[in-house]
Amino acid sequence: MCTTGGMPADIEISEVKFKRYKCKDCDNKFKGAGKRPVCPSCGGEDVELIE
Amino acid sequence: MNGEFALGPDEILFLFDGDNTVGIVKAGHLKRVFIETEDEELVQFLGPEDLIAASCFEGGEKAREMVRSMLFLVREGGTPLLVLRKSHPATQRLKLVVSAGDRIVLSGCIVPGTHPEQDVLCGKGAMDGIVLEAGEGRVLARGGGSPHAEKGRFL
Repeated sequence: MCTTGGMPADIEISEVKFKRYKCKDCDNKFKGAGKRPVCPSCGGEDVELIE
Repeated sequence: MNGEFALGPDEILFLFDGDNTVGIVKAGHLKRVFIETEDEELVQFLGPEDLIAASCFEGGEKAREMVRSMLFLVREGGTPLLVLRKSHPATQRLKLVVSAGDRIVLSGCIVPGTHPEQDVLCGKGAMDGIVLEAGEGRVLARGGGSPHAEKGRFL
């Protein structure tokens, strides 16, 4: 995705399908995309998809 | 173009014509990129073989240094990417865009809201239409025009 702005015809970030996760170790909730979701707060790999 | 380039974690691949420049590095040790919008923080998770690409709407050595610097800030500095709404005045000032993932499509004609697959990056001139794909220790580039390709040291 285009992530630093730039051109007038840019991607609409709100259209990107990020998913909501919850870390089972620290209860941190975050929105992410990609194959290997890891808690950005504690680094824990035990995360669950909540939405 | 139809090329396959060996790309190590300390190397950068440039694709360029006279007016546009794209730089590609491996994600390497960078496991995630933070994307900051006005309302929330998004996280994109990466594997070591994934690609981080920066596209500059200029050519020449200065553009290559801009691309290299941006990729250094993102990968080595962990700098979050700030996303401005399209109507923000600063959006018109920025000359660089960044994308990351295992597949990146360079397109000179991105229409808002039509690329939810989040793998597109603005790329004009000879780069328009090129598809970059990550392989083990390499990057594949196919389609588009015939830009120059040059590899250099990233670190």
